[in-house]
Amino acid sequence: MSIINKLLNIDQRIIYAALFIALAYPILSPVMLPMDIQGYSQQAFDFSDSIPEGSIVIFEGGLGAATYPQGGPGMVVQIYHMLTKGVKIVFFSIGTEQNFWTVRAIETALGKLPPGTPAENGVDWVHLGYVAGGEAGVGSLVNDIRATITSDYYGTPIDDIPLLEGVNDASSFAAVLWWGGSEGSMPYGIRQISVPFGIPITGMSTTNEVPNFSPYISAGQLQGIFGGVRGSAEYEYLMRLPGPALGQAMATNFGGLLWMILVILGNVFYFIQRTRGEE
Amino acid sequence: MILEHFFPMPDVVTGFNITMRSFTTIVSAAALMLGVIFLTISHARTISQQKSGWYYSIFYMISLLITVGLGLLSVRNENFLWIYDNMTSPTGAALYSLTAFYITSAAYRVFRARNWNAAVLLITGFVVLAMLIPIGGILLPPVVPLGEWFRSYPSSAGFRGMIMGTSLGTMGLGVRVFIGRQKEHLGVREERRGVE
Amino acid sequence: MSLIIAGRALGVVALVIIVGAILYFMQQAYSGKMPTLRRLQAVDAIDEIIGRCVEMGRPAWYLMDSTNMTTPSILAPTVAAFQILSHTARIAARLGSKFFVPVTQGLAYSIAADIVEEAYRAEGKIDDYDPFGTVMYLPDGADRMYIINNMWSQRVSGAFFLGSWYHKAVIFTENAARVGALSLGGTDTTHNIPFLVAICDYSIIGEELYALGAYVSGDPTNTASLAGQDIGKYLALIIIVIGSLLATAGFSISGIFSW
Repeated sequence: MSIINKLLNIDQRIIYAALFIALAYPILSPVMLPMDIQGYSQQAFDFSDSIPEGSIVIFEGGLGAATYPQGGPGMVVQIYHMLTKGVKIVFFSIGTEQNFWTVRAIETALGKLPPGTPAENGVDWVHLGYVAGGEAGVGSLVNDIRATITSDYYGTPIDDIPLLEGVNDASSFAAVLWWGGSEGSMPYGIRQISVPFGIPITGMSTTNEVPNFSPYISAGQLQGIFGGVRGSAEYEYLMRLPGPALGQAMATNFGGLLWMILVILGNVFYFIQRTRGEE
Repeated sequence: MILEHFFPMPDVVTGFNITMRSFTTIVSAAALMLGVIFLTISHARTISQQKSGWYYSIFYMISLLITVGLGLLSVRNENFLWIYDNMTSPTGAALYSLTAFYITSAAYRVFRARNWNAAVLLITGFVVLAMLIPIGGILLPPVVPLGEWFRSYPSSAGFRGMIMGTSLGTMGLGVRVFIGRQKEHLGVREERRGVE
Repeated sequence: MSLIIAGRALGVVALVIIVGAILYFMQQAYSGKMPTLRRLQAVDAIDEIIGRCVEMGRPAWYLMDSTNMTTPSILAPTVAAFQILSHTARIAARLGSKFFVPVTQGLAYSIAADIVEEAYRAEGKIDDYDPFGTVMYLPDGADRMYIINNMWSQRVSGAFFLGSWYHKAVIFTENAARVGALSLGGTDTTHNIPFLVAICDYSIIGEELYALGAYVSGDPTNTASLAGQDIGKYLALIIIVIGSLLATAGFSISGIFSW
């Protein structure tokens, strides 16, 4: 077997080892490289920044253990952004595991807030907990909160929560923030909340799902999106709140560059093989 | 529930639908129990028959007993949460990261310009990836507007078509299942045995 | 109180037209008038893959990834995957191929086990069916390493990746390709379709997953329903063309979406 053939059929463990080194090095020894902001992320940030002070937003926390590393930092920044602007937040989750990670993100964000920022549970934010039923559950929640759930995540009856006084459906919300991770659930928010109630929506999804939502952004149904770890990193950068996502985004630089080099090399070797007439 | 989406329904119907939706939580929990029971039986068989790797099944049994025991005490139990924070979620995140390695390996093997279709796939994939990596726009500035164009127009158009097709397929499947014409997901029934 | 909830009138009209068309073509087929439909290559691919497994004496695997049937967006492709599983299991039983179906959800596991057992029983090969080995429950998360390792150790020669596929699509299909398995992939999760198309030897895109389920049912009325779905596509095309022309001419049509 010629050397070209061997290179084209290289043991994939060598590729894995090279990728591991490319990803691990910038995480262990941080490297800051320049980064430009994607159009979708800028749009999502501008929209989030335009939400008026004193508004209430509904926030779906859909990150699980697998997706929290890439979306969690951005979700923390979004919560920080809203609370420091004086925007009140109503959280909920449509997955049981996601419910737990939403609480984690809220606690992390509360820990980062500047002293004196209003962030009282029940007054400035409330977590309604897990809402069963997927899209149907979302529809039920936003049409009649009190018929869907009776208490928040911490067991406080809904009627005892000051933030929800006079709030029983989505018409009280100024925006929808949907941090759906890899659930692919953002269309639930679009179909059940944004379109019926005329409320703008933005949020986050994993990088591979962003093309799924491009049609919604083009149609104006989605106000930009934070895509994966880069989206989270861009949000940290725009908010001047450096966090784990920026470090991970730098790692993706090296991983992406390795990917590009491998694809170029693969094609070069392939064409050499073809010109030599080898199989 | 279909009617509730389109037409105003009286409270008794809406209330019934809310109750039905809450059943999904009960069914999910029951399904989880079912899976755990089957898995436990399978591992018990592996241990009793001392099949290859039977000692790993003992680890499973011990882990199951500890985790279920702590969970039954309280899902906010400190030790239970420690297991979740320090074992379950890092493992889940690590296994999710396998995707990156396999994508890279697949890209090296598959992304070759064997013909015109493959060449178009290669070039557009390359441009979009260069746009997505943070430094891509700095190294190759033209990839940003080009990649965003690819993502916003041809890609969106293709995805729109696929979304419409998939939605129609789902409707067709729903009609066939609702009227009882398609029952393969229920297994091969008496009337179909011996037909082929 | 209005008859129809605001903003949903168009949805009702579209639903009535499309469901009506599907029922119409099914009724026509019942009366013996079959529409002309192109044959899906995937139908032959199933036979080819199982045949290869029999020749090589190595197993065929049928994987469905996410089978959480309480989530509506996952339920439909999972049901379609079950329908194809019924057909595939019967062929595997008939030809005597080793067959393995890992499932990561308890409810889906019991349904899949029932389907495969019924298939083996229908072919008179119930002795070849292992109640805990042919269809196996694997916890979500742990399934990755089990499937990767065992694909290599068993040298799988045929694999089916059908259903609602998420990030595991790349992992398993690439692993199967490296092992040398002939594979058929199909999902309705749009962002994973490119992976399956690029890596699998045969692929079905989006709605072809549901169409394949109708084809393999062997019932002409089910196959005829696919013509009804095409009416929906023509309707969408007409609306797109009209909407594009109106938008180009400067007319705003967004008002009709609030009907």
